[in-house]
Amino acid sequence: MQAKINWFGIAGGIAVLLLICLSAYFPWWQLVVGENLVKANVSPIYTNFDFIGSSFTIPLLLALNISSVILMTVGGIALLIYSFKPLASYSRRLLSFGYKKPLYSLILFVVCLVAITLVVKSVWDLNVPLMGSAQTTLPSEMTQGATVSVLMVASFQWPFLLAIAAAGLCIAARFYDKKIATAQPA
Amino acid sequence: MQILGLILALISIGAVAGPVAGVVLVYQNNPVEMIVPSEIEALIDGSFGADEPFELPQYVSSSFDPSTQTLTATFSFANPFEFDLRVNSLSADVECAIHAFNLGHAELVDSVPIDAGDTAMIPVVFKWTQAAEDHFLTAHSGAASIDVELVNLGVDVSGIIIETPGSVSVNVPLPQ
Repeated sequence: MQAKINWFGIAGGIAVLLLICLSAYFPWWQLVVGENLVKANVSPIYTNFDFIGSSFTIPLLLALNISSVILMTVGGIALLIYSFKPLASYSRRLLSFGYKKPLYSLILFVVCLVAITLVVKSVWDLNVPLMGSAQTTLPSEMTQGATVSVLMVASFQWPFLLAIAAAGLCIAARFYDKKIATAQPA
Repeated sequence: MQILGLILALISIGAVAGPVAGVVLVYQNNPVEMIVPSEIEALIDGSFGADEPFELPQYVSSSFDPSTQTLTATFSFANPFEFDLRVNSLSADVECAIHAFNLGHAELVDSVPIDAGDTAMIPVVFKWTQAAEDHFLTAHSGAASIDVELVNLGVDVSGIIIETPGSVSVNVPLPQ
């Protein structure tokens, strides 16, 4: 009997684990203010800020990043285990747990990013671009009477594309599972 | 399979609740810092995290070269950060202090790098225009010097463009 393997699941699981490793070093989205004076390196895995030479993170974001690392790692491993034995009795539950994680991370990441830029715009009247560049004037209460304008450049980085690819492979694994299940002899 | 479902559910809950609870515990005495760390507070209060306060370039002195009819105003700019900065431009409109007559425009010739924690002298150059000379002849005939104001001061520091409403007064000897 030919062993059934979900190749999309293997590719998706590896892509998810690779994404976690790479995202610790490369952000999904980056905002640069001025000539590298301020940098925001953002991803669901690791978020930090470089501010005029000093680097820091927001503790609550760090906690959520750790949550994301744990969930995506467990999800990736679950997907890999499922993929080698997709017909085992426990596999359907592993697939159900694993394939959603990168998709949820991707959706939550984009939603949070859009929400944060909108909140910053409404609270501080700062026009932070999601993609591309924007010249923004800081509120006068922050600048002691002077007019201070800064160039902000934002862009999605290549790990974001890898995240889309990983999510796509995981969804493909879910659909391929149906094909494996229907091909199983009664 | 119920056990596997339970384990996965517990992992999901624990993965979120654990780190968040840990951060809440660490910052229980100052919960605001959980979302707004001291670095962001420094940004909001204007100190920008530097040991010394950040100040705009300060006027130091000026010199006038009669042969080239060029006024050079020197500003000092301290970099309080542990980060190299670059003054890309520094410019100002030059006006007669008495008549508010626009004499021309002064600007930085070349960008000036300022190493972390260092202070640099920034020369801003203004060459008399024909209109300025005409103004000296008609409105300040016989005067040995003239008070000018550098207004609309603008400085570009590493991509941050600052325009200040303040002005700088400079006394300039007039060519006789």
